[in-house]
Amino acid sequence: MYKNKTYTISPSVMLQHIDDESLLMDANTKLFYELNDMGSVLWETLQHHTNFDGVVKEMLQNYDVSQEQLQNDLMLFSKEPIEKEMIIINEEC
Amino acid sequence: MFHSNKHKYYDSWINFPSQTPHKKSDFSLCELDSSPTTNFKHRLKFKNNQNREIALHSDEAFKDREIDHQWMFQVKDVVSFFWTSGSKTMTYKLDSLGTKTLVHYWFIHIVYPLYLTLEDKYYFLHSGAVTINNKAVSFMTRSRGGKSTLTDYFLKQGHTLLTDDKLATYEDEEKVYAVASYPYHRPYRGYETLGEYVENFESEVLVLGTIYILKKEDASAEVEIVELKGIEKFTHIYQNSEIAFLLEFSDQMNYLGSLAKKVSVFSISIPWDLTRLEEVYTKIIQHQNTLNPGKQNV
Repeated sequence: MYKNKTYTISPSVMLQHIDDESLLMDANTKLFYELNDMGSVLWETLQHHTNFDGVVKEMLQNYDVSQEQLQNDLMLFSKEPIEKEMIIINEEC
Repeated sequence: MFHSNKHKYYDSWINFPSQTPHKKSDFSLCELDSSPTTNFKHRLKFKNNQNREIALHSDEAFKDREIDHQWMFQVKDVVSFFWTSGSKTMTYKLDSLGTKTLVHYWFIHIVYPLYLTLEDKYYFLHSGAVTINNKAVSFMTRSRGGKSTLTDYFLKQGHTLLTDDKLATYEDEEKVYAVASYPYHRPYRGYETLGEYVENFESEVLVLGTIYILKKEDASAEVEIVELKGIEKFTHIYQNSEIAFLLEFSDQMNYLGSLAKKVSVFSISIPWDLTRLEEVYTKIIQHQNTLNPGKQNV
């Protein structure tokens, strides 16, 4: 769905690691989201890139998973943060 | 075998997690008013604090704090305090209902901690705190959760007071430190109560060793201490951040995240029975002695 699209992580969102847990904090809504290990890895990977293709490529290098499954999972994971504007899809020029 | 150097992939994260079941920070305490009635361009009005109308005024946006930023904290009909960022001088102007006692109350309990926060000197936690085994031990709970009563009991057993309400903290790379705030204790709160003067007031900066989150329970409940970790630990600390809403959210989160990594946090069940306070006290002392073997005292 977002193939070839670029995105920006909202500057209002922060990731914190506390003990063995990861917490996403949204300054706009003052809400917290708990991420498990893979969720934390995924969010950090999203922070390293500006397009979903780059995220998929990096994850495929490090994890034993098919591209199709990873793309589907990434879209499913990103759906809510996109709706909540924690991830902002950039408009195409 | 081709993927033998790759990590195992878990598909359990595919659904974006729902928010943690915590109570939102009480941002309804304040409202930003862009139509001030003074020469200051920005005003933050506080809701019904101590049955007074109170507001913080500034000549610049609150988040854009710089040297020479002008501030006024006004308690309507009582007193106004004025200061400039970067200055160590504060002036006040009494109003029609102002008295020396009220000035003392508002300065010591409210304005001075606010000033220190805005000057980036300390990060305040809503907490009682006493000294145990030469470390600061903090008691946190929501209002009327037993914090003042427990602090009072520790004072009566000879422990020194750091604070009964606002604990000033700062950190270095390894530790968080607690600074005693004011030598007044208010075991039973009325409006604008300065409190009873406490001789046994901590004069040293101490390492913040432990935070106890007080959980109100039935009178017959066991006194139980359980260590908190991760998100649960963090949200309890966050919910007890005193004045930090004036700071940038990222600064708050960075500080609290760092504090959560450096300080042990435990929940303690408090049976709602004053006759069992000694039992709670003993349990905390035994717990502290376990955490600090070789440094045991009262």
